[in-house]
Amino acid sequence: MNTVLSLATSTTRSRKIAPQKVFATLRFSGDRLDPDRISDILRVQPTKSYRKGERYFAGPRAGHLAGHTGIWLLATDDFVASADLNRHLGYLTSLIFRGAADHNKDRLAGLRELMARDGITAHVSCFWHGEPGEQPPSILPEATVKLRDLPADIETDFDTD
Amino acid sequence: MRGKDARYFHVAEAGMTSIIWSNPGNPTNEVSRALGVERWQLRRALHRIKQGQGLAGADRVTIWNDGSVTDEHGIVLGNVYDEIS
Repeated sequence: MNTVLSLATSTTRSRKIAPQKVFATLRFSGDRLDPDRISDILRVQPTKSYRKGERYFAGPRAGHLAGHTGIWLLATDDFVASADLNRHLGYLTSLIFRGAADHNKDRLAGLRELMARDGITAHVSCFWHGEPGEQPPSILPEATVKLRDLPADIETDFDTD
Repeated sequence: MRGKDARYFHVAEAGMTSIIWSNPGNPTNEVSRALGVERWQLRRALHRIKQGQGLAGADRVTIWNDGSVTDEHGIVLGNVYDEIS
């Protein structure tokens, strides 16, 4: 079961899938970011979200921290159980581009309007940890094109043992 | 301005913790061994902590031997063990 711990407007989602060596994150950030607006547009609850200055629970050891900027973050390892990075990226693009074409445009337009109005930036990061000598994954151009169209910058964090 | 976590100042002032990594890039096997976790778990935890704080992968952080991760100003960003459990 998926549980969500809410503290004021902050959200921390517990994992329902075992930690993986491959995942991607979609992050929106900005000082004027209202996490609920992003959730309303994408119709999904984030892995973690908080407003600038809001205290949120970072874990039993870290305790409560204060957000230095607004964050809405979704990590795919909460939703996708696959060693294929492109499946994780496909999940992220499906959040933005899923459904009927008209709804796609509405969702994309809504995100762009919000990002422009509130100074919000979008960022996608890809995590991969491989065995010694293993080749890092290649990102399909389709995913890159779609995410940059948001626009979101894409960062990779690939390494091996 | 980012708020400061009282827990960080408590452990730092008590002198009970020490820095085990403060270099750019991914931490080495020695760091993960010092924390008693696998390297991929440490990398994954750092990735999640940085993403959750709006930081980029290249942003420099400090790792302490109690699992705490702080930024260049000594502000607590998270704890490795919180991201593993």
